[in-house]
Amino acid sequence: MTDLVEARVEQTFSKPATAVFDAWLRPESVRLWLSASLKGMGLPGDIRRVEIDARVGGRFTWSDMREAGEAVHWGTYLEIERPHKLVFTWFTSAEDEAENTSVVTLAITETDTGCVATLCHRMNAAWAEYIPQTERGWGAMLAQL
Amino acid sequence: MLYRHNSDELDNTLLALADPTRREILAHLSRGEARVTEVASHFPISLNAVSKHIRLLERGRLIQRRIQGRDHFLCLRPVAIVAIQEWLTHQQHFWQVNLAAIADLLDAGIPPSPHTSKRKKS
Repeated sequence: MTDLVEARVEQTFSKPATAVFDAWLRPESVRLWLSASLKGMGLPGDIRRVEIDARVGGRFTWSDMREAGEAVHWGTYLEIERPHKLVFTWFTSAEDEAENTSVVTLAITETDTGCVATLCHRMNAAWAEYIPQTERGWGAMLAQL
Repeated sequence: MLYRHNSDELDNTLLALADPTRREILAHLSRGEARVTEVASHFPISLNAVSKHIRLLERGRLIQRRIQGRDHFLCLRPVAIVAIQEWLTHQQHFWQVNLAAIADLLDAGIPPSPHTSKRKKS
């Protein structure tokens, strides 16, 4: 199974596309919104690292401290087309990075009242490895019932 | 991975698993698809009570129902599908909350940064 698994979300903004685009590449902005959103998810939102090398091939590292330890998100910018398109890899573990199939595409389109952003997070081949494993896991669990 | 514990879906899955009758229903369905009435015949409780357990298993995304005419068939949902859905639900929530936080931040009016003008020039 090499089908893409795709998480897609959309958000409208009352501000121009440049403002939304820049919010992703300016460390001081990322620090603010990431902290707010983590708090919104019930986490401390205690941001530790926001390192951004905003060029194609450049890396980013964002981290926050949680009860279970430091959660680190990192990746590499694949496309930077200000203010309409930002593509980057997105990893939260060394396994993610080894599989290297997690890609986020942010597309921003101007509207009469601001802009609309569509964010698409794709994963693929990782599931090919994962599925047989979990099927076995399921069988083992049922065998114990 | 660390933030997965917030998922309501996972709660529903665990709740569905936390009952011996429901686990027996899963064990029964592990042998293959079966009619609701067939499943119910294995339990010394009313069809109504079994139906309630089945609904909880459906809500926990552990089984799925296929309706063919008057017959309702049940089968296990592969764990992989559940895992993929969990990933999708989690990621969609994560990105939606982030985008909403950006919208809030911009509406609140963050000060323009010198970094932005530097980047424009280079």
